[in-house]
Amino acid sequence: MRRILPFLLLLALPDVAQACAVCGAAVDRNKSAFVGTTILLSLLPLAMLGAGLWWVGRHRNLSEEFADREAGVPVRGQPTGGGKE
Amino acid sequence: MGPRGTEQALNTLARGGRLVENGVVGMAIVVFVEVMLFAGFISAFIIVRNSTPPGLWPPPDQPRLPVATTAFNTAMLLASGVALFLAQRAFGRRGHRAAARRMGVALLLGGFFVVFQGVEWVRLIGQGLTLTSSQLGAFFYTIVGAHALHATAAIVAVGNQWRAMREGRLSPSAFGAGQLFWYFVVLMWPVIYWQVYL
Repeated sequence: MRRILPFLLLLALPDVAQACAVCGAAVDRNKSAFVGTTILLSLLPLAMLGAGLWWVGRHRNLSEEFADREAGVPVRGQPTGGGKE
Repeated sequence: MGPRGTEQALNTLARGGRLVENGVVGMAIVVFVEVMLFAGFISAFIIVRNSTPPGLWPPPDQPRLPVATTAFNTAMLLASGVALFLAQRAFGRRGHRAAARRMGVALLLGGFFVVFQGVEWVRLIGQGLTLTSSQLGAFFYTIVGAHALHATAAIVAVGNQWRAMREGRLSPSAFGAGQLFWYFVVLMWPVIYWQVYL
């Protein structure tokens, strides 16, 4: 019990222990700046990668449609030009 | 990429070409890294600015940044981006001579932007804003200086391409890479202006 007691006392003081000393800034504006810039730096690379993948995927789909159209295969959602519906 | 650009890409693919030129892919990776560099700079600036007590940012003993004149300069840089976009359109429709003329306009506007920045810097240094005078000065010259360095590199690169374009020997891959870097320089600046000047 003597060994556990200090840990139990620490549990009673959760606000004192900060995982990151810098993130516990006293100024609220600074705290929100940390949160905002963390979100920015985390999401920005993902957003750029996502945009690149989206662009490549979109053009791959379009290129497949284009190749189908060149080959005379009816494209989904477009009239077939006189074929039996 | 607009409908015409999409059509060009699809025609290229239909001829067995690449969806994106190698030069453009390489430059996209460079731009990705550069965007993260500036995001880091701007994040650090925002945190330092917000850590100062209210009323002490910008530092009272430091000169104010020229907001109005830089807004004009921002418009010049944006116009250079539009001119380069028009050069790309002209490249596909009217030939290399028309494209070279528009590239020349883009280069002049970009050159004006860098020279104007230099004039502003001289004035600010004269008023006491230096790299070591305050945190504002340190961040201002680091962020704006890094951007000016990129703008200068873009001018040199597109300037070389302009010469090649006039002679009709500029490849689409090189032109696309140069354009991408120029657009990065143009589009990064309004973000810097918004965060650092306003």
